[in-house]
Amino acid sequence: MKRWMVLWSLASYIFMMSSMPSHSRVYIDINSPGGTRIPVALLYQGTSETEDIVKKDLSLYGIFHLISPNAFITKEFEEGKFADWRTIGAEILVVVDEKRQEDSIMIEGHIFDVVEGKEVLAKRYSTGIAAERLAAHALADDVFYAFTGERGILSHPVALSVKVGQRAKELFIMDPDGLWKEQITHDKSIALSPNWSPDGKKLAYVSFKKGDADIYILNLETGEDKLLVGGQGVQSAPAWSPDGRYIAYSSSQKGNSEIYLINLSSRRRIRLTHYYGIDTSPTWSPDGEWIAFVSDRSGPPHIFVMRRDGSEIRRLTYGDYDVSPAWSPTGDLIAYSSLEKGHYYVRAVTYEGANDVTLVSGESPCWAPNGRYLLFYRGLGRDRRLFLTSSQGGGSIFIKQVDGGKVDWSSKFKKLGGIK
Amino acid sequence: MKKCGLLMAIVILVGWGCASQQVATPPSEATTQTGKQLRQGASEGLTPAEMKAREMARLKEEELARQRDIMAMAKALEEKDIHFDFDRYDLKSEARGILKELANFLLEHPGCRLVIEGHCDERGSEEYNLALGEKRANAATNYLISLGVSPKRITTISYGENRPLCQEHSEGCWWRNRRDHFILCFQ
Repeated sequence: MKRWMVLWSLASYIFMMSSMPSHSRVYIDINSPGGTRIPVALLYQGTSETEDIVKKDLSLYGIFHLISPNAFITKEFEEGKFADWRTIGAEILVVVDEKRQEDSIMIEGHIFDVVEGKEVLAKRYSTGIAAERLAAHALADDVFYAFTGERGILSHPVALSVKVGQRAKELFIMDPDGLWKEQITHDKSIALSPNWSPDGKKLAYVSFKKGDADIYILNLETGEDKLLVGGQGVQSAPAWSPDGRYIAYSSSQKGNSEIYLINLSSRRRIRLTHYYGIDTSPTWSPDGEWIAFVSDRSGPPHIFVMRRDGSEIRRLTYGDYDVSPAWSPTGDLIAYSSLEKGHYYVRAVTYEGANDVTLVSGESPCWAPNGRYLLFYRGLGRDRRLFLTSSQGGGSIFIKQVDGGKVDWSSKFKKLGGIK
Repeated sequence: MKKCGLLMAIVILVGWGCASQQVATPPSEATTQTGKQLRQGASEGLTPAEMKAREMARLKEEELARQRDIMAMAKALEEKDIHFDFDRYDLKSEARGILKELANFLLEHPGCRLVIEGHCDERGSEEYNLALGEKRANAATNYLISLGVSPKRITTISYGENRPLCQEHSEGCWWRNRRDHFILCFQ
């Protein structure tokens, strides 16, 4: 916990010296899958470690093609001279200068639109030693923003549960590129289902540390860990409401798993479902008016949606076995896992139940905060691997081999500085 | 749940610890031997007090042997998991048979409590499996109640997919993992 907090606070030293304007022109349409990748020349002066993070991060977006430095005509950038970069086919030029001082690192980035021959963004990213990855993420996110007009995703941490040793599952926080992670629980118990608070300061999660499944809230800034819902039976699947005032969760305190809301200030609990079967895995619509969830009321598990007061329950999916709903943070799509004849598929459906489509083979989807990308798993046990894909389709990019459970991506990246 | 396991451990330690010198001796043989010793004692001209002490020792030995038998029965029952089909929590006929044995044992030994663990295989979501494991534990509980066992004596816990017996990604292993496991403990 301690080491993690130190790194976290180092991260908070990141600040932006100059924030440049908004993006110039949106010339990557990320709504068209399978489009050609835009050629990027990266002129990097600094350590190869940080350069590699920038390269990996840019490649994760799936819309950039990094031109090999072997093709470069020049290794220097001269103000206003774009001809040499046009010749090698570059449309974007990213010039980075990394300066290491005793106790800090300063990365200066210039992003150029080679086609229009102008600078789009100039920024200094300053971080503590051992936190240069955060500057690399912020730079990659800025390149993405400059050319798509969409918020970047790599400066937002993800939380997930990971199997540790033979029996334990612990919570980790990880960079979305999978290059850095830190263990944040050490209970040698079973910790599951991490869920970020909207302000990015806390995690709600499930732990067996007192014997059976209870819900806790861990404050990541202070280390304070508090029981939220305990008692007999399974308390699980916490999901913070978008306004941060409620947590929806599944509880079997009355003998059967039902979905409840708990008001975080009054601690009053409101029961939303009344059905003798399984109701679990609530996920909120971005406006906080609807909750999608899993229920076996139609036989095998399917995805349902209801109003936040429990009314207007509607069935959304009709697969053999549909679980793990995740409501897009920006739209009306609900991604979920569907198990069909032994194969897993990540599918997505609108909250009205329309356009139910397969996105990719895999399971347990987790949306990026911009609603444009998804993390998901393929494989089981030791062969389990985490991938990233665009919600618009296209390929999947390998992130990390990890025997992990439910992933949640923080919507907050304020620690790393805003770019808007 | 932990307390229950601990209690059982204490019962075993105390019960078996006291009788440790005799552990290897089958109970019936032990009894006849003590009886023989007692008769020998009379012929050896022991005082009534000494004979009474021998008789007490014999009774104690019998009680320990009886406890050992009960523990052995409990252990044998604990080794019998009941199994479920994928995404199901209805009881199969073998499961009902095992639960009847369990119910008989519990009705004969009112000082014994039961913990039922519900488990799932690794497929599906962790959260759904937590709920499913609980349904499986509840299915066994309800059947035991129907056989006359007091619900107050039963505790359930669902581990979902988090405590597998085996790790292979095959139906054989998944079948072993889709189970209710029983832990008997004495108050």
